[in-house]
Amino acid sequence: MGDSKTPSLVIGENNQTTQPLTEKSETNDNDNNNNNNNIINNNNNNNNNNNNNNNNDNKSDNNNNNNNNIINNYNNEKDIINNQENINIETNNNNKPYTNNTNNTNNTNNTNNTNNNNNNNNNNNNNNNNNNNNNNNINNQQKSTFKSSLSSFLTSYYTSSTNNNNSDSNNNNNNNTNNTNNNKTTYFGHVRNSISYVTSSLPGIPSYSSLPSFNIPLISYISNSIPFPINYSRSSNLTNNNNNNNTTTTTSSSSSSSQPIPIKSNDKQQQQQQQQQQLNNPIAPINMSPNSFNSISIESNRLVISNSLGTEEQFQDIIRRLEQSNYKLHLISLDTFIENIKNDLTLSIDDISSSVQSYIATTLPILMHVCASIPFQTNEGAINMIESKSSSSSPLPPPLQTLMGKSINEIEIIIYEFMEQYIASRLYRRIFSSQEAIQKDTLLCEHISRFQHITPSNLDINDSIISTQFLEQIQEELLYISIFKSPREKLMCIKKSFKLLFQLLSKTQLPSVVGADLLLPIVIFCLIKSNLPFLWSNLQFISLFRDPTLIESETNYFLVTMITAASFIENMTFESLTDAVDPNAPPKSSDDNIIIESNNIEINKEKIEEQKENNNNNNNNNTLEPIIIDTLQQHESNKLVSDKEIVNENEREIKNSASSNDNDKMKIVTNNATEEEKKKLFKFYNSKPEELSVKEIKQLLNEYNSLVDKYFETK
Amino acid sequence: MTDTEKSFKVVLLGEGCVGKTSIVFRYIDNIFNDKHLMTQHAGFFQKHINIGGKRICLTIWDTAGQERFHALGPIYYRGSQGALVVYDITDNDSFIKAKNWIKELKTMLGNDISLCIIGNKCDLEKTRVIPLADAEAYAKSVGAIHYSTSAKLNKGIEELFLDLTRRMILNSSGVVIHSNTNTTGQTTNRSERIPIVPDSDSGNKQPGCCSN
Repeated sequence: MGDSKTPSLVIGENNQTTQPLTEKSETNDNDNNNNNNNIINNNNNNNNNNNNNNNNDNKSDNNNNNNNNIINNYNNEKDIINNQENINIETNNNNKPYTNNTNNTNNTNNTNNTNNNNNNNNNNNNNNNNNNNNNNNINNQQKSTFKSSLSSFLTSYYTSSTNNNNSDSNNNNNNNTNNTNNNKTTYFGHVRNSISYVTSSLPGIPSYSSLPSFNIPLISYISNSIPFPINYSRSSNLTNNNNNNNTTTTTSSSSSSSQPIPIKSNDKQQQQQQQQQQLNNPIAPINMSPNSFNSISIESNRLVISNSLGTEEQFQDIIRRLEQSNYKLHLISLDTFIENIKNDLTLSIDDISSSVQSYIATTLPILMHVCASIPFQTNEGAINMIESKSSSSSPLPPPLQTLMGKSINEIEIIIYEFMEQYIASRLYRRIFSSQEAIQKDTLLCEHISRFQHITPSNLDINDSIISTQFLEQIQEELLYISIFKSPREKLMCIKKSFKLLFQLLSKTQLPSVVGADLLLPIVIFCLIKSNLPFLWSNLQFISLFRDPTLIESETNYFLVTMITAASFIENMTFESLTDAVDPNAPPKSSDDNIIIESNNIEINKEKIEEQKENNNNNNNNNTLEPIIIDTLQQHESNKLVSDKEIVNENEREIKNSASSNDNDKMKIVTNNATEEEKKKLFKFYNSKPEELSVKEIKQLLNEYNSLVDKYFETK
Repeated sequence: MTDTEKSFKVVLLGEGCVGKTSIVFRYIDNIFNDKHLMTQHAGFFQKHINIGGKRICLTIWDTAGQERFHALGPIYYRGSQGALVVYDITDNDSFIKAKNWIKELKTMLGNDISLCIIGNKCDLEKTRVIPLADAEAYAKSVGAIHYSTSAKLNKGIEELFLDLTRRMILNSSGVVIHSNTNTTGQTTNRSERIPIVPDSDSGNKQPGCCSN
């Protein structure tokens, strides 16, 4: 009963499948129907003899293959026929395309021999078949194809019967192995179908040009029927294909639209950031927490920010948002930017400030998007790229609670404040360790130390206004400027210092109105007395790293006053101070020097006078000696010239000398003699004996006698 | 400050002891000798006024008038829209000093700034040294306006600041266009800054990669 049913079902299916095909398929139907009748088969064979074209044979083979494939599909759908039959059919299907491929590629005798071998095998298997025609190759091929299909069904029938005879356990094992084989064969079948598609599309054979359009939907239809595991892989492949299409469109769009450079750099940054993220994940939060804690502790201890824009809570929320996994890239970009500046020691402070400002300008819109879900206001190309990324990653993030209900400008200010504080506080050591700043600070401190002795009056300030307590409090307040690391906090410190100054001034009794005329000198005096170690560096830091548009007007005035005071001190000299009111140590020291110099001059003068006196004495002694010698020579010469006259004159002189015994007369004579000697010295200093007259000789003799008398009187 | 409110910076110049600060105190707080309130804000004054439906914020910067601080003036008057140059009508030297300030402001800031020459202490008319006609003629020659005020008698000060604010508004009506262009300039500056960043960043990051 069962045996009779199965072949009838198979035959019926063949009939159903072959009906919609073309006329040639109808002819095939006729052949199949006539297989049961020998006479009709012979007639058909005779008809086939008329058509001897290889093309027709090839086409019929392809049609048969398609028919078999469709049969497989119906079998799978119905799940009636045993797996064994399916296996046999599929194996035959696998063989046939291979043979067709060989026929297509090579038309040699070897292929015919292989076909003949197959035919022989089939004949051996099929005992019921009585038709054996080896004379005609064409007829053999056609018969072989038809017989092989029938033999496949019959062999499956016999194998199933034999399996029934075997034990149940063997059947179970065979079923398991058959199932696995089934899966494998279906997989390979898919592969070979694709191979056949490729071979059919080869340009070498023009006869196949009409068929690819017909084959494509079948392949898609076949691929749809593949079992689950292959479908899973197929779905991923489909998505890949779709992505490929999208990538092509994106590349075309990207090529068409000229993208700005920073976006590409941002892409590179993100790639590098991802790599660094993998490396730095455990390290970054540890580094983050102490810094934020330090800033919080300092700020909580010292300052109370009343400004709602840029509070510490807002900064904490921003950091928390950036520490999330989705947005850690931006935080890492900040850290890498900071580290690059730290590592690059060739940069000057101006370069650092310009690079920081430009970096903040580029990253500000990104953070506004991340923290407050504000859309970008950049180029269209950039918008498209960023939107694609954002859409791919996740929907827009919800805005932070602390930033709710604020305008775009206010949010921009808050995020700018955050970035400024974050970057500046971490670059603080890099900036303050620069040699330029250290040199200028040291020079300024040395310059200020020279003026520590000044009093308020040197700056036209009343002494009653400023007291030691006043200075101590202001110094204490000014020293905090160096403690804070962000320019905003430093400015808050300066503002607080000025407010303290005003409070202290209000306590004192002021003679007049307090304006800049009085404020600036007081600030200068306080800075000189406090002598801050990093005055110049702090002012430079604030001016370079603080956006001037965000500085409050009043605080800006205080900053400008500090800058003017510092510049005045830098160029300050003693001449610029008023010396007349109260003289200070430098003028006194200068006066003392002058006095010492004057004393030295006086001493020198005294010495010079002494030398002059000595010289005068020496001159006198020198002049006296030659005169005496001259007189003696003259005396001798006179004696030789005229002895008589001399004797007479001597007698007269003796009388004269005897007559002049009076002491008074002697004194007068001595005085006169001295005068005469002086006159004579003047007259006869350079005279010669020949030039002298008689009267002159007498005078000389008289003088000689007087000198001799004096000489003996002393003895 | 809101966007609708405009802010003007006014700088107060003049020799010491001519009464600069007294004028501003009289205008801001209508006070002349109250010492307690004077010391709350020394040197910096801020007042919000409403002119023609526009809300204006005036910030007045007082400067030290001593001769030794003359070289430090540019730091104060840089970026200001208005200037008040004050002299004492009983002191000829203060008027000469005021002229020097006017020359400097004209050379440094050009015609964008609104200039006011103020002859203070007009309550001491008997001891006037500088004729009013001469002062007004000089003010006209340099494109400024002369005012006679007395902080002691609260005379001429309110009119002074109102006129100055109106003139600054007129200049800013021209400047509003400039401010708009400035804002667009800022955006363009930011867009222009954007290409600069990757060069420096790329330069900085290459050693980073080398270090990694």
